[in-house]
Amino acid sequence: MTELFTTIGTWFEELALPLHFLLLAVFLGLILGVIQLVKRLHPYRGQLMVLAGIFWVFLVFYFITYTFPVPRGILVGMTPGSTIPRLWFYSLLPVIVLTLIPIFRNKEEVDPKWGNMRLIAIVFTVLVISVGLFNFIGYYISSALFIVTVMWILGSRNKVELIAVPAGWIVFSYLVFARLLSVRLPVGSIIENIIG
Amino acid sequence: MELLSNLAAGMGVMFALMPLLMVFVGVVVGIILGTIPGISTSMAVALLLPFTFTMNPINAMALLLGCYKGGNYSGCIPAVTINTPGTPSSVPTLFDGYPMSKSGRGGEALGILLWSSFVGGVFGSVILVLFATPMARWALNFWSAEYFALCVLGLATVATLGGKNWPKALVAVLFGLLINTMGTDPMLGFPRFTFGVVRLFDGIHLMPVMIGLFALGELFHNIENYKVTDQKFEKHTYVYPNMLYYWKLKWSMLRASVVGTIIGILPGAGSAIASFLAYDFEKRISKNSKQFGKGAPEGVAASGASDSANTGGSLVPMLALGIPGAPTVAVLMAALMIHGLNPGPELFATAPDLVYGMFATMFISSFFVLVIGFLGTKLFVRTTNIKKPILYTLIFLFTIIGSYAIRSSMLDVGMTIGFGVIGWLFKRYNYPVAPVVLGVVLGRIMEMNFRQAMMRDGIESFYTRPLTLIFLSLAVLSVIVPIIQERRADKKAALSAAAATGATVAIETVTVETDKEDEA
Repeated sequence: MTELFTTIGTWFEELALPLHFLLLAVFLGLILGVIQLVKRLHPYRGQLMVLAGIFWVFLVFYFITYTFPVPRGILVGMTPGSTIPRLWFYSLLPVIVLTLIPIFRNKEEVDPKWGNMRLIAIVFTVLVISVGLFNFIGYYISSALFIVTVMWILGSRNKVELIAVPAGWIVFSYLVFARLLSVRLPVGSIIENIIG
Repeated sequence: MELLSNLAAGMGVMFALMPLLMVFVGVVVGIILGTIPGISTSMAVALLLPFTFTMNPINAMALLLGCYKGGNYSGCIPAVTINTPGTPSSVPTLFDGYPMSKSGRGGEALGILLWSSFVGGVFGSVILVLFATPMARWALNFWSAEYFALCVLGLATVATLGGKNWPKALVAVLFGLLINTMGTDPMLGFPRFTFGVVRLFDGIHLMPVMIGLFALGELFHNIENYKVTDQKFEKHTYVYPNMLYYWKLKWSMLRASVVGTIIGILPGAGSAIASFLAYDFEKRISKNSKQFGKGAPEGVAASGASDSANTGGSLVPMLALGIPGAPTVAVLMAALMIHGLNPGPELFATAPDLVYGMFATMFISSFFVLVIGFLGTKLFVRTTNIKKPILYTLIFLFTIIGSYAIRSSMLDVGMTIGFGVIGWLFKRYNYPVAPVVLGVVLGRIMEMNFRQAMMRDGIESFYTRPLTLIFLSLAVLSVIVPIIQERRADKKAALSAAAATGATVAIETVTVETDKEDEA
C-alpha cells in the first residue's frame, strides 16, 4: 500500500501547478455529476462542491507526504515532516462526516440563491486582465484603466469622477507606495521600451 | 506596583511624536473605514497592514491597534444612522440606535456610543494590563506538549463557538492548518508542497491569505449583491446632548464593560457574542426593559461599551498565550509575526517595550477615539455618502497593491485573488473565514511544538502531563458540547412541534364538535 501511495504521491508532486487546477476541476465535475443524480442533494450543491474541493486538496497533499524523506543517520530521532500534514488529513475525515450529516438529514441551511453573477464575473475578469497587464503596460496605466472600467460597470456615469478618481489614485499610490514605502511598482515592458 | 511601573514604561515608549501620530492616524482611518458598511474592523486592519512594513514594530502596532479601536467604535455608527451594522458586533446597537435616530434622537445615540466606547475601552485596557502579565508568566512554564494542546484548545473553541456552523468552522481551521504546511520543513529543511514554485519555499505568506479572505472575499460578496440603482446611503444630521445625560447611563456602561471584557478573554467568543450578551443582560435587569428595541439609551450604551471593552479582553490571550481571541486579533498577531516577533509569553521577555507600549496604546487610542469621535463624528458620518462604485473600486486596488507591496511578487497578487475567491465562496456557503486565518497563524507554532514534544517523550507526552491532558480534554469537550446542545435543541424543537400539532388537532376536534352541536 505504501508503495502505491508513494507512486501516486510522486505523480502528484511532479505535476505542474496549472495541471493541479485542471485535475481539481475534473474532480469537481465528477462530484457535480454525482450530485445531479441524487435529487435531495440539489439544494446543497454549492456547499458540497466547496467541501469536495477542500477534500481534494487534502487528498493530494496526503499522497505527496509519502514522497517526503524519512529522517536517517543523525536525524533518525526527528519527527518526520509528513506527520503534521497527515495528522490534519486524518482529523479532516471525521469533520467531513460531521459536516455531511446535517446535509444528508436535510437539516442544513440550503444554498443561497445566486446574486448578480454576471456582474461578479465581469468584475473578476477585469481584475484578472488588469493584474495580467501590470507586466506589460505597468501598474499605473493598468490600475487607472481598471478604475474607469469597474466604476463604469458599477453604474458610475459622472465624467468628473471617472477622471478624478483614477488620477487621484495614481498620485496617491505613487506618493505613498512608490516614494514613501519604496515599493517597486511594475512599470511594464512596453512602457520601459518606449522610455528606453 | 510592578504593573504600574511597566505601564509607565509603556507610556514612556508611546509618548513620542511618531507613535502618537501613528495611534492618531490609526484611530482616524479606523473610524472612517469602520463607518462604511461592508468594511469590517478586520478588513480595515488588514488593509492598513502593508503600510507598516517599513515601520518599527512599535509604530506598526500603534497604527494597527489605533485602527482596531477606531473601527470597533465606528462600526456602530452606520447601525444608528442608516440601520446597517458596520460589523457583526454592532447589530445590537441597531435595535435601539436606529429607532432613536428615526425619532430625531440620533445625536443622543451617537453620543452614548462615543462615551460607552470610551468607558468600555478604558475598562478593557485596565483588565488587559492586570491579567496579561501574570498569565504570560504562568504560560512561560509550558512544555511543547502543553503549548500544542493549548493551541488545539484555542482552535477548537474558536471553531466551535461559531454556533450552528461549527463543523464548517472546523473544516476551515483544518484548511488553514494544511496550507500552512506548505514551504520548507521547519525542522528537516526540505521543501513540502511547493510544486516546483521557488517562491513557495518560504511558505504561504500571511498577507495574501488575510487580504484575500477578509477584504477581497467580502468585496466579491458585496458585488454579488450589488444593485446599480443602489449607489448611495441616506443622509442625516446630529446634535449631541450634554454631559449629565451620559452620567445617568454609567452603570449600564460599566456592567456591559465587564461582560465585554470577560467574553473577550475567552478565545473565540468574539465581540458579537459579547455585544449580544451585554445587551440581553442589560435588558433583563433594566427598569426600562419595555423600551428596549424601541429606542432605549441603555441598549445603545450596553452594546457600545461591551463591544469596546472586548478589544482589551481579546488581546489578553494573544499576548499571554499566543492565541488570537478574535479575527481582528489574528490579523494583529500576523502583523507581529511579519515583523519577526512571536506573539505569546516570550514576547514579554523579547520585546517588553512593545508589549507595554501596546498596553499604553490601548489607553491612548481610547482617549483619541473620544476626542476624534466628539469632534469629527458628524464629519465621519458623511463617509457613508461615498458612492459604492468609487469605494469598491478603491478597495480592489488597495488589496492588490497591498499584497504586491510585501515582496514585490505577482505570485502574492495571484494568491490574494485566489484566496479572495475562496473567501467569497466560504462566505456564500457559511464557512467562516476567520478560522482559516487562525489555522495559518497557529499552524507553524503547533507543528514545531508537536514535533518537539514527540521527539522528547513520544506520544506519551500528550497524556502523561496533567496540563496537556486538561487542555486536550477541554478541546474535545468544546467540540462535543455543541453536538449535544444541538441534539437537545433538535429534540426540544421536535417536541414543541409535536405539542403544537397535538394542540392544533385538539382545537380542530373541538371546533368540529362545536360545529356539529351548532348544526344540531
